[in-house]
Amino acid sequence: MKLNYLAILSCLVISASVGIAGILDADADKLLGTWEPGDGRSKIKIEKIGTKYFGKIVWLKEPNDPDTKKPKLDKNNPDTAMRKNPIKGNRILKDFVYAGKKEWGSGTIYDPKNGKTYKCVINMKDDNTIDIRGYIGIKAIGRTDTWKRVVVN
Amino acid sequence: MRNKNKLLILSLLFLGLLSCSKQEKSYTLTFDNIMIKAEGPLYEGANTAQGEVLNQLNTFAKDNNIAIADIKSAQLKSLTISTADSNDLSVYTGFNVQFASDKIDMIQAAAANKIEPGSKSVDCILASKNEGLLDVLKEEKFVLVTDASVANDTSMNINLIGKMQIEIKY
Repeated sequence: MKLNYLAILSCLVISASVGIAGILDADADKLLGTWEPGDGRSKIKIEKIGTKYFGKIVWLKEPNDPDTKKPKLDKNNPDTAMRKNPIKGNRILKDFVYAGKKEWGSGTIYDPKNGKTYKCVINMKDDNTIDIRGYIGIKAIGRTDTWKRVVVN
Repeated sequence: MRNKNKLLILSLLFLGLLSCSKQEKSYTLTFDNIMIKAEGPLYEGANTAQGEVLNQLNTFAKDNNIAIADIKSAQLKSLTISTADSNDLSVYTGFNVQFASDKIDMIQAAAANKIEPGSKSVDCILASKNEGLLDVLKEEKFVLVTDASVANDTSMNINLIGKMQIEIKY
């Protein structure tokens, strides 16, 4: 009889764990999609690779360099070998892990304007709005930008 | 005279130390037939494809009786992307390749921004720095994340083969 109780209890615990994990996954995946930063000059598609989240530039308001009339290149990349890579397609958000409570952390954001990479945390304000905070060292020293989800009709 | 003797003893000691120190060795791991795939449709711009790579470092270490901790560095030496079917690479305008795993931060590996018309393979330009690559190689498996750029929307799938060589020093 005791064995039956134990079996039922184990099943309940396992079911609850699977359920919670499912809810967490569903919350985490709310970050997926295409987002527009505050300045409206680019669009970033966030996708999942393995268990982490990454974002790449999929659209630029001004895709071409005004001087060369050719696609803008990542000319500030600290790795000189990678400076001929186009900015469009560049993966600027890397390695974000869902921390719960609509926050994704442990990631970085790359700024092609200066070739620097910053630590970064993402907070979802609502399903269509995220705050992206890039910072150096501690979160207090940084800058937050609000991105809007690009809704496809 | 005393100084000369001291110099001689020091030189002998230095030579002795040199002879005792282990000589660094290198070995090139070759990863063939990495199937890099993504389902279409593909959209204008960069499309993410992935190819899983299984650990070779453990086998190498075991076969050569080396502790993993004795392997000091890893450097990507070549990375080639080829078509896996009868098509050539003309649909693609470029590739950007990165190493990724769940435990290690993504690392830039290589890129190709010029693909000759009609070619069926392209040798990528390698990233200068490979910090963290050794940690990636220690994983049971890792992913070659390949952003394949296309000029226009297309319904095709990405079906590529990656081949790379990584030199390790121990």
